Amino acid sequence: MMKILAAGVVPLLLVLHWKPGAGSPLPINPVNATCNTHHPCPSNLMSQIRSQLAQLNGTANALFILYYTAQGEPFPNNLDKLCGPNVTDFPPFHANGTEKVRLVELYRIVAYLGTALGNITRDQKTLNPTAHSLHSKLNATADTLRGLLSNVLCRLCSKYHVAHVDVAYGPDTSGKDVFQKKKLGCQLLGKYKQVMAVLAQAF
Amino acid sequence: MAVISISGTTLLLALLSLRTLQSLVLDERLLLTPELINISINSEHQSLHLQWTVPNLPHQESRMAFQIQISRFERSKVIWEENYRSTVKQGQVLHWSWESELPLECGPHFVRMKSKVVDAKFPKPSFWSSWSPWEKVVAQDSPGPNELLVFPKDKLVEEGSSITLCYVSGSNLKNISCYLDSEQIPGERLDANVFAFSLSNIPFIRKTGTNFFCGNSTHKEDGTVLFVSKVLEEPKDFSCETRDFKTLKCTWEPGPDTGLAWSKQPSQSYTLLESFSRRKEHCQHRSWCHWQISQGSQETYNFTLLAENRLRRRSVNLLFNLTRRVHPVDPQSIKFENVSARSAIMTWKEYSIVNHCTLLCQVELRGEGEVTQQHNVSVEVNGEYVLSGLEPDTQYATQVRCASASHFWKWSDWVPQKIITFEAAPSEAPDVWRNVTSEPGRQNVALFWKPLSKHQANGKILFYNVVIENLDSASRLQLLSIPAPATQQELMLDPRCSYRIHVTANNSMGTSPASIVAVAGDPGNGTENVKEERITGTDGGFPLSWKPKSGDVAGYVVDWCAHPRDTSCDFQWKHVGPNTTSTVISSDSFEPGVRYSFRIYGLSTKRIAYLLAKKTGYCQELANILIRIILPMILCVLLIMILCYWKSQWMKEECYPDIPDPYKSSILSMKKSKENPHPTIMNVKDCIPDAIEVINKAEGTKTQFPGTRKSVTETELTSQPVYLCLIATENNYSSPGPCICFENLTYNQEVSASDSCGHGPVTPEEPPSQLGLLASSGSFLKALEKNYTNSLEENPSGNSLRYVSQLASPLSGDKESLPTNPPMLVLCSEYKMQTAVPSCLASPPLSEDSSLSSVTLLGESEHYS
Repeated sequence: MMKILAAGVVPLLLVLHWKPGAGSPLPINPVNATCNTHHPCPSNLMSQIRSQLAQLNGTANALFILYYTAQGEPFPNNLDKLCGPNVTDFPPFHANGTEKVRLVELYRIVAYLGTALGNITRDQKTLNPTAHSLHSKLNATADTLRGLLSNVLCRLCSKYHVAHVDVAYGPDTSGKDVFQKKKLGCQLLGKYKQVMAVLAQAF
Repeated sequence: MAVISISGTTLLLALLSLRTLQSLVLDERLLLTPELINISINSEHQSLHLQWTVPNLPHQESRMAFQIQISRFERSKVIWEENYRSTVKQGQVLHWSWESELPLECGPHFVRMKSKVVDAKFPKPSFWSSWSPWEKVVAQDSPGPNELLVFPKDKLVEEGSSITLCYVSGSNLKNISCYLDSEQIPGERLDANVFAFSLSNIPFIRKTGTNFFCGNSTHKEDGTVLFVSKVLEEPKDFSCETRDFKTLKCTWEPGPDTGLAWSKQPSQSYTLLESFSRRKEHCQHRSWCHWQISQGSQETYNFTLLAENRLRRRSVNLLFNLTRRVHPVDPQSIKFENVSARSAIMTWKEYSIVNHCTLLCQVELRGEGEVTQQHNVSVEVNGEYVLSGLEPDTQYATQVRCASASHFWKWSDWVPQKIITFEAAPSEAPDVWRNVTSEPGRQNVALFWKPLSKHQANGKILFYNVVIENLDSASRLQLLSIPAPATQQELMLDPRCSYRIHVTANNSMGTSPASIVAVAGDPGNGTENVKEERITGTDGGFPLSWKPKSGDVAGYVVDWCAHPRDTSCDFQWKHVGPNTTSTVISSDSFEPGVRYSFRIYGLSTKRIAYLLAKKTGYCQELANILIRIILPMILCVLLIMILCYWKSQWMKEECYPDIPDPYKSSILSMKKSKENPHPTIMNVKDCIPDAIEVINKAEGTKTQFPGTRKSVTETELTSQPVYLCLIATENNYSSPGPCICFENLTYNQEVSASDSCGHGPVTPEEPPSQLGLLASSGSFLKALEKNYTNSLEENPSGNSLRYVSQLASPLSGDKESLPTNPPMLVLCSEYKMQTAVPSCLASPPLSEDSSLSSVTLLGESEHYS
C-alpha cells in the first residue's frame, strides 16, 4: 500500500491538521483524544457536506472529459484501457454503514483524492501549460475538496468526537514518465467520478 | 656431409626462429588485449559509453587500432562493428561511445574489443590481440509475465526525423497493438517478446507531446510520449543599427518557437558573438538584442547570431561598418518662430551624435489633408527651415524626419507638429447688392452682402462697415458698423438725394477693399417703361437674356427672391460681366409651381443701377404636375367603380333577381343537392333572402323561423297566425307602404309541406293580432331580427331553408305597386299563405287609404297586451 505524502497537497493537509506533533499518520479515534478544530463548526454541517458532495458529483464528469481531452489521442478513444477506475489502494466506502463509519470513510476518500488531485494539478501545469480551463477546474475541485474535508472533520469531531483518522494518500507520480502520469491522472479522475456518484447518493 | 650439416643447422635455426616468433606473437596478442573497465548507459541519448585500458603496453606511447563489436539479444547477433584508432599511453583509460537506434531498454547488449599497434615507429609486424570477453549490458530488466513496457520514455525528437520504438512484453501477453496518437503502427519482431516500430518523418502535433500507446484486450497497456520539436530555423533578416553610437540594436526574425511542454525543451536561445572584440552577449529576447558599443574606435563589426536548442544550432553572420548603420533619433523640440500670415520658421533639434554626422532631413507641410510642400534640409545639430507661401489663418500639419546624409540607412520616424498662421486683412471686397423701394417721402434701401469665402476673409470677419455717402451733400457721411455674421442692413434714405454706399468687411487684421453701390435719387426712373416678360424655367434653371445697355456698362446684375412666398424673400443676386447679355439662374431652392420674378439691372461705371428687364415664370408648371398625378387616380377610381357596379349586378342576378329563375338561383340549386345522397353545404352569406316570416300557429305550437329552429313560446303569442316582415331588402322600400311576405309554393311546395313551421292561413279579419305583436314589443322584434340574422349565420344548410319571395306577385310584376294598394291583399289570397304588413316597424305615417288595416292592427295590439 502506497502511503506517500504528495508534495503538492501535504502543506494543505498540514494546515488542516496542524498541531504540535502533526505530520504522522493519524490513528482513528484514540480514547480521550482532544477534538479541536481551527474554526468553529457551522450548525448545518451535514447539509453543507451534502451540498459539497452534490457539487463535486455534478462537476466530476466535466473534469474527467476536460482531462482526457487535454491528454490527446489515444486517451479519448481508449477510456476503458487508459482511464478505467483501476486505482489500487483506494480507500473503501460502505454506504450501508453507520453515519460515523461513512463519515470516517468519506474523510479518508477525500484526503486521498485531495492528494491525488494536487499531483494531477502539478503535473498538468507542467505538461499542459496552456490548458487553462482544465487548471481552473482542477483548482476549483481541490478547493471544494478542501472545504469538504474540513466539514467532515468538524462533523466527526463535534458529533462523534473523532479527532484522528488514519489516511492514505494517492500514489506519487513524481518519478513516473509522462505517459504514466497522464494515465494515472486519468484513472484517478475516472475513479473520482465514479466514487463521487456513490458518495453523493450515500449522504 | 658438411652441406647436410649446414642445412640441418639452418633448418634448426629457422624452426627456432619461427617458434620464437610464434611465441612472441602469442605473447603480444595476449598482452595487448584491451580490458573493458566500465560500460555505462545513457538512456536519454540511447548510448553506451565504453572505458578500457591496454595493459602491459610495450612502449611509452603507441598508435593503436581497436576493433569493437556490439551484439544485441545474443552474442552472435553482431549489430555494430567499428574500428577506432587512438594514440595510447601506458595506463591510459580510453573512451568510446556508441549511439543505438533502438532504445537500449529493448534488449540486452554485448560488447567486446581487440587491439593492435599500428605505430610507424615500430615497423615490426603487428598482430590483432585476442578479443576481450563479451560484456553484457542490460538497461532494463526483463518484464514480468503480465507486464508490458514501451521504450524510449519521453523522447525528444525533431520534426521530420526518424525514431524507433519498441515494446517488451511478458510471456503471457499476446496480440498487442500499438498506436501513434490514434493511428495504428505496424511493428517488426526483434525477439520473442520484443517488437520494434520505426517511425520516419515524424510530425509535430502539439507542444505537449505525441502519445505512443501499446496494449491488448486484457487491459495491459503502456505508452510513452514523444516530444516532437519543430525544426530550429536559421534567423532571418538579421540586422544591426545604432541611433546614438552608444548602443547597437540587432534584430532578426526568429522563426517558429521550438519550445516544448514538460520542460523537455525550452524555447531556442539566441547569442550574439562579435569576432573582432571576442565578446559574447546572451540575448534576453527572441527577436532582438542590445550590444553596447565600446568607447574604442571599433568601426567594423563581425557579428554571429547563434540560435540553439537541445537538438540543433543555427547561426548567421553580419559584417558591417558602424557609420553605415545609423538610424537617427527622431527630431526633437520642433518649434515655429516668426509666425506670420504667410510664413513661419520651423526649427528642431537632432540628437547629438559623435563624428557630427550630417543629416538629411525632410520637412513636409500638409494643408487640408494634402501634402502641399516637401523640402529637404541638410542638418548637423539644429534644423531650421522657412516655410513660405502659407495661407492666412490656416492650420497646417508639418512633420520632419531625418536620415544620415553620407550613408543613407533609414529614415527616423516622422515627428508631427501643427501650426496656425496669423490672420491677414480680407483680400476681397464683399459682394453687395441692394433692393430699393420707395414710399412717399422716403426711400427704403435694403442692403445685402454675401459672406466672404475663407480664402477671401483671411481670418474671422468681425463686422462690416457701411459708409453712406450723400452725393448731394459732400460733408455728410454716415458710418454703420454691423457685427458679423449679419448680411443685410435696412437704410432709409432721402429720395431727393443720390447716395454712394461703401461696404467693407473687417477682421482683426484690417479692412477689406470697399464694395460700392450707388442709389440714385429717383430710383423709379425708367422702371415704368419696363414690361414684365414671361419666361419658362428648365431643369437647369431660368435662362435669361436681355438687351445690352447703351453707354458705359460696368456690368449687369440679376436679382430675385429665392422664396417669394416667404416674407423674408431670401433675396438673391448675380453679377455678370459687362459683355454678357444672358445667363442662367439656377438654384436648388427653386420649386415647381412657384412663380419667380427676376429683375435685370445694368450698372453704370458710377455703380448706378438701371432696371433693364423684368422676367417672371415657373421653373415647372404645377398644372402639368397635377394632371400627371390626378389623371391616373381618376382612372383608377373609375375602374374600381365599374368593377363594383358589375359585381353588384352579378350579385343581384345571382341572389335576388327581379324574376328569379329556379334554374339559375344558387339557393334553389339546393333542391338538386337534396337528391344527392351526399350532403351539400350551400354558402348563403352572399345571398340575403328578401324576408323572414314568423308564423304564429294555434295553441300548443311554437313559432319557428325558417331556417333557424329557434322558437318563441306560445304564451307570448296569440293563437292567431302572424306574419312578420323583419327586413326590407330593397332600399326603395323606404317609401311608405307595407311590404308583402308570402310563400311561393310554386317554387317549393315540398319544402313547405314538410316544414313543421308551416304557414297557417291568414284572413283579412284577423290581421290586428299580427300588428299587435309587432307594435307591442319593440324589443321582441329586435330579438327576432337578431334571431333571423343568427339563423343565417348558424345554419346555412339548404335543408332547413324555405325560399320566400316578396316580389313574385301573380298580379303585378311591379313590387312597388303593392304597398300602395292594400285591397290587393285580398286578391293575394289566392296564394296559400300571404299577407301584408307595414314595411318596417318604424315606418312613416301611412296614407289615408292604406292606414286602415295598420291602425286597426295597432289598436288590436294594444288590446292584446
